[in-house]
Amino acid sequence: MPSSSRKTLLRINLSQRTAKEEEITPELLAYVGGMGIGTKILVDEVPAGADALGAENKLIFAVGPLTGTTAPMFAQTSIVTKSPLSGTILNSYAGGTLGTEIKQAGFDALVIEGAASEPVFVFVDGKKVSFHSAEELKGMGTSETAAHVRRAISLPDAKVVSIGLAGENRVRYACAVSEHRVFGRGGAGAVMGSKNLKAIAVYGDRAVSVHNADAFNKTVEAALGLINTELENEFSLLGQFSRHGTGSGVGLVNERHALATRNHRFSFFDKANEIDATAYENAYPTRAVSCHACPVHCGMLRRVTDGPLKGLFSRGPEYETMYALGTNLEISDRDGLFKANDLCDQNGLDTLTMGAVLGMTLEAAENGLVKNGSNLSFGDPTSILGLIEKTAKREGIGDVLAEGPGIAAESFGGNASDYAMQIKNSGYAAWMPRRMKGTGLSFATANRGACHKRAPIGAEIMGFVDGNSVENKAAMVKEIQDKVNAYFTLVSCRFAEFVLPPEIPIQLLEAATGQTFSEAEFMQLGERIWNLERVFNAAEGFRRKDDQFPAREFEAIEGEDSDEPQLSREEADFMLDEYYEQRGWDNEGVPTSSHLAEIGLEEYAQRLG
Amino acid sequence: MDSSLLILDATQCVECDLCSLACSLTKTGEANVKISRVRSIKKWPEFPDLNVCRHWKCDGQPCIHVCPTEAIELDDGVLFVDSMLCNGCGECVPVCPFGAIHISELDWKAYACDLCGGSPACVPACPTDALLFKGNGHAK
Repeated sequence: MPSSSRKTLLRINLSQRTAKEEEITPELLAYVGGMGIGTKILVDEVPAGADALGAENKLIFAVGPLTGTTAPMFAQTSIVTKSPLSGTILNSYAGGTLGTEIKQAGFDALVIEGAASEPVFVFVDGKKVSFHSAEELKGMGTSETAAHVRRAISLPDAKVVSIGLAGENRVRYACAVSEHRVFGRGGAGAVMGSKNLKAIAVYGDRAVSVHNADAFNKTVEAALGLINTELENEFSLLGQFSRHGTGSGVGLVNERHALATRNHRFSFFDKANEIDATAYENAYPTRAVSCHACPVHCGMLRRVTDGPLKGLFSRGPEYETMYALGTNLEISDRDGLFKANDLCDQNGLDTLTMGAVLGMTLEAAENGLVKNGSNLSFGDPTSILGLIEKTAKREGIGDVLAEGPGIAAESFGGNASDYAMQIKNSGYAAWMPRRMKGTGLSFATANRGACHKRAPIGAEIMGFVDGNSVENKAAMVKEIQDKVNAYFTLVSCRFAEFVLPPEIPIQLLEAATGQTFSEAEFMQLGERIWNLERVFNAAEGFRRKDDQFPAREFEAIEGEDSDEPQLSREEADFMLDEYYEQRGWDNEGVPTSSHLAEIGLEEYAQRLG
Repeated sequence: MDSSLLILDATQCVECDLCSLACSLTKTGEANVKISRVRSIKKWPEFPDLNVCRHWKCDGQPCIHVCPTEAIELDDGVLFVDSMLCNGCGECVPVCPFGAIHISELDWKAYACDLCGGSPACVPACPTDALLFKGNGHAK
């Protein structure tokens, strides 16, 4: 019977300039795809203590059984690698059409190994792989690189994932970018740069067949029905995203005093409406663009038609960037923020970690900790743009900023580490643990550091649960982490889980591949992946001390009625204790042998010695 | 915007490829944008080109005239490629002003949109009404 999985991965060895197909074993296929397969390969093949920026690290692009099919909201590609920013395992996602192309080329995963001696780009043309010099592409931005690559291979339809200057310079939070969609967070772009890999182009035209077409098409219809009902409601989350993009959330979060402002000192930005989705729509011609087979079309492509930025076009800024480079830095200059977003995209920089670095730096400058920093200030786009460029180039102060918020703060000294908004050196996403304590626990315990991808954000911001309470947050966080991981094996958009209950991905998976999961088994798949990631991190020495908030979290939010801190150290400890217990981990946050055995990971107990 | 049959509005297109997927599924049973009869071609930051046969507004209908084996004709309001006559030479491909005629790698015959005989599968798949269909009584 056909399956939508290719059951094939492609190993590309950059040191030897070889490529070889390999069958995906049943043991690996039990992890389904995407984040699951990527995590299993990385944990099995990259030894503890490996240099994230060395040839022994690997970079895995993995798609899933639903990639390239008609299933809506399953268009993402995942990257798994060891993060040069946090030293943990990293998984990172981007939508668009790259994943479909990888699948149509005939693969479930591309495993990039070794390092090239000279800059190269790789072209995966169906089953043919070729290596090309990228000497002439050095220093180019991500979009320009993609355009050059497509011209060089004479294939305008090829999909390209590329790095910019930041990746070449191994900035620890450099991204890989495909069609203005960004594999963000912990430095997948720096890993590409360390391998001298400027870009990968992919082209494929093989159809994707499913195991049981009738059942599959019926479930797709059901999924579309659920999504369309949501989209028809203008005030639902997806309804808003579809009409205005993710930036439509800024007003609501601000209204609830949960919008991190001025490096998380405040929770309300009085000029937020100058940089929200509506402000951008009114200022620049905007049109919506989709990922493969997705009717939500939350991507907003904007272009500037006059003024100093004339000709600039970009997809964004997204909600998270409106925070990171906007409210968090008190930037209300729409053009300035748009330019900053584009500088990050073209240089290939994670806007979240860049924003955390900049917030800390501006505050450290105010406190006299930054040499020649007297001209740096919150609210000033010139300061921001200059620092972003310096970071991408690793020039002057940029060489320190390129190391990440935690390391840069240590280098500034004084009390800068207290207000470096990071966990495991990974910058905060756009949420305030003091307002949403379960989301805070997600930040603290995320295996890739300060991550919002698997957090009870909706429940807390909408007030379905009390964001201020720490009760039951551990169980809630465990559940959402496991659930999102399971969805990420397929590889779904983060928003799919808002609207598609687990039976939909489970039924789609069965109809696509014949693999059957009960809901409990599907959730346990997510739990197994989370534990496998934790095993990787624990073998690297990560412990309870690393699942901690910076000191700012225990200060009172300024400008509010009360001077009392919203979150206490006791509450943070309480949540962590409860979480470790829920997880079956010891008090240091390390999975116990008995728990690993319970979830089918007994072989990994040895790794923790 | 066209005035008959398929109404195309590229300014509404979000480039989701749902039309192309519906087309390839209907015509081949498999999801594959690259063999669809209707395609949205990215031209960022511009609106995309929507490539599909629009014979009703096609000056001179060059594919019909350039075909050396007379395999292409208009049959009751739809473009029809007679696969018995088509020799796969591909001369029709570059002359199409809409980029809408292709050669199949399966049987090396030309193919183009036939409006699914009067009920195009792509149209209901479009989430933004960038594609609409107005039957004119000719299409079967």
